[in-house]
Amino acid sequence: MTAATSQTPTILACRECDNLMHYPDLQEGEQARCRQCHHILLYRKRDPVNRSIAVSIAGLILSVPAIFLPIMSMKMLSISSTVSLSSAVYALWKNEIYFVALVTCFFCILAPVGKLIIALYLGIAVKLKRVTSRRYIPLIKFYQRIDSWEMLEVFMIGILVSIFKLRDDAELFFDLGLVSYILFMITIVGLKLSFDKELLWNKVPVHG
Amino acid sequence: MVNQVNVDFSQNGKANKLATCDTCHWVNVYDESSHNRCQRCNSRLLQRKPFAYQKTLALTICSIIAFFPANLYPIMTILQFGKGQGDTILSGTLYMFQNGMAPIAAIVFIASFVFPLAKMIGLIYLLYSVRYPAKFSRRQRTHMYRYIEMFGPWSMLDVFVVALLVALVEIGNVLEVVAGPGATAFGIMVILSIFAAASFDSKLLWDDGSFNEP
Repeated sequence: MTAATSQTPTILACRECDNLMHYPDLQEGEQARCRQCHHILLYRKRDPVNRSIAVSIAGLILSVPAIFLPIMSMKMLSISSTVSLSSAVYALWKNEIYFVALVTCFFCILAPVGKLIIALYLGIAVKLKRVTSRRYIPLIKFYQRIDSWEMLEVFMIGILVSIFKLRDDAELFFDLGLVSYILFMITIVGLKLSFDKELLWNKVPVHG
Repeated sequence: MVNQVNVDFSQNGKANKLATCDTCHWVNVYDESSHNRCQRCNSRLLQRKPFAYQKTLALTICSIIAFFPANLYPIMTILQFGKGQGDTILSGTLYMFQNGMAPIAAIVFIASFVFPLAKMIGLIYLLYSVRYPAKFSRRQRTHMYRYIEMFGPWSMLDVFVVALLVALVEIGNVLEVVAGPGATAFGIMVILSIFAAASFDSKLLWDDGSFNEP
């Protein structure tokens, strides 16, 4: 239908204040700020493709123990119980607190795992030089949409707070799940630091 | 494609009849008379978020309303031998503070009480400053908006604590944790305030008055 070619933009507008400027030519590791409102407009990450593939493979492997292994266990009067991310969601659902259960499941399981899967898929697609068709647009859009809904770090502090809340009432032990959960969280932070959306968008062909 | 020659860089995008795609940040030519779509990613194009002012005001008011049940109803009850009193967020924090867990109490207090409150006041102030003269410069207010968006998720902290405790503490009849209605109200409040912050358009702060403020 229309001849579609890959084009790098020539002009850039600030997302925060609508200030116009020429598209800056940045090297890897450099960032550009808006002259008017000081918002970071562009940030070219170092070696984004290789790093995000590596980080997302590590994250996907770690997600299984992080979600299903018990994070901590408590012991009281010779009865012990454990909690994992998945059992927390299940217990909330069983206690008929459906909203909190769904929200926790989405923020701490579905959103981060979804991000990792999409980042891995897109990273491999870029490696194989296949992000030249417009098929990949929905995936990049989906990644951007769930990006702001992932709250692993908050859950981590939540673990800390609940440890302190129970400290007086019962004996607490930490399990392997906590270690893998922390590593899982670090991979998500690593993904945030290495995944370059602007690079992907600039590979997408433009109509007209 | 936008022809660079015709662009006046001393004016903003709207004055140049351009629109930036919210999704992929491609700059497009904007035609007011028709429905515009981004050339690159085919999302709907808007120069400014429609009804940003009204939507943000409405959602902020809703989250202020939800703030009351979230803090007045017990968020959870720790039952020892079937007995126990419900804890609201503030009474739980106070209990922790009195029992020598001041740093943790401070984290909980800031994340689940100070942040939501500051967020609502901040959004109301930003809305006010769009219509009326404000004390802070536009750059400061843009920074303020950025921080409001950044700290939004941290308010979920207490909801996650309830989730963990409910799952962990199920030891027969000795010790049990039951989630209260406050937890749901709190979750709703946080999500409403995240939507409120997302519906605000920081470009509104820069639209009025002289363009190149120092």
